[in-house]
Amino acid sequence: MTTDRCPREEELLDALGRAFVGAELETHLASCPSCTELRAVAGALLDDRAAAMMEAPIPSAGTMWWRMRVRHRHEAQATARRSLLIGQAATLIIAITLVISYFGTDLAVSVRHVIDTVRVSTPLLLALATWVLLAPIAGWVLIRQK
Amino acid sequence: MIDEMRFAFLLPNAMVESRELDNSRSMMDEEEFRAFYERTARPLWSYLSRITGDRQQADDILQEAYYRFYRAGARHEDETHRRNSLFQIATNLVRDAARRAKHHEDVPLEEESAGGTLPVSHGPTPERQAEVRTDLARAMNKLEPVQRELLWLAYAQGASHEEIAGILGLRAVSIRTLLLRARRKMADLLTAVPQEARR
Repeated sequence: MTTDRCPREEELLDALGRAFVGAELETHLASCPSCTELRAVAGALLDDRAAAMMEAPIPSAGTMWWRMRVRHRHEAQATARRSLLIGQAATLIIAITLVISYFGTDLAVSVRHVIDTVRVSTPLLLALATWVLLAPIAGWVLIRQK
Repeated sequence: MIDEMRFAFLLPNAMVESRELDNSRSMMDEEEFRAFYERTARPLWSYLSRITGDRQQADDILQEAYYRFYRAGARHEDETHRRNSLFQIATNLVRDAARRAKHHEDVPLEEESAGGTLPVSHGPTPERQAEVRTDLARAMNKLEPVQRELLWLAYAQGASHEEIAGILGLRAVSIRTLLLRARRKMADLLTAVPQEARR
């Protein structure tokens, strides 16, 4: 087990990188536990890297570029759709707020009057209310699924 | 420009093109990307396959890393900085994947090698080369993920301590100690693994 680094480690790494360890360095290696350890580890890793580089099943640069462009376009479209939806929702909320703030009381009286006049059955009224509530949610879900 | 701004919100495609136009100013062009990819894809795949111990995962993370690198559109001082940035993205993706898969049982590399997924050796004595590489894979599998990353970047990739610190998100001053510790553990494992295998 080594306790500290040897000053010749950089030299050894260079030699391993060039795949040639000179006689003088070999002599040093025989008496230096730190360098022996380094050769065992770095040598194995360098050999493994050389093999991995040869066998790497990477797609061609052209294929990779095309995939990235397609994906980037899809993501940009999704972002644009989301922004549009948020804008539309904000506009709707503002419009409803304005209508209520200007005609709130009158509107409520009118709506009540219309309901009284039409005299629809309670189940039908409930169904209508449910539809009014669920239709925007269903629309939102449909847009998200596209 | 004013027309583009006025009507862009009406047409999603116009928005998309407008966004792409803005992004393209900082993104690499095709020629630049191809050259960068040719220089970095094989080293990156080697790094990923060895730190994950899984070739399929290395393939997936390679693609994701390039996409995120491209999408980020960051400016880089030089080629080294650009390459380190790519390796940093890839390392973070590996860590994210490991976090997500934490509840799953890891597939030991010994089993993978039995299934023939480990690289095929070549050299003067193929059997011995294969043995050494299987030993290395087993030893790598017994290291902490950060130790695998450190060893590969330092000795297989030849990265400096500053570069390693940048890629792994560690302090440069601590790299020396961490690397020495990882190296010792690896050396011990390389000595121990063949003995274990013979039992």
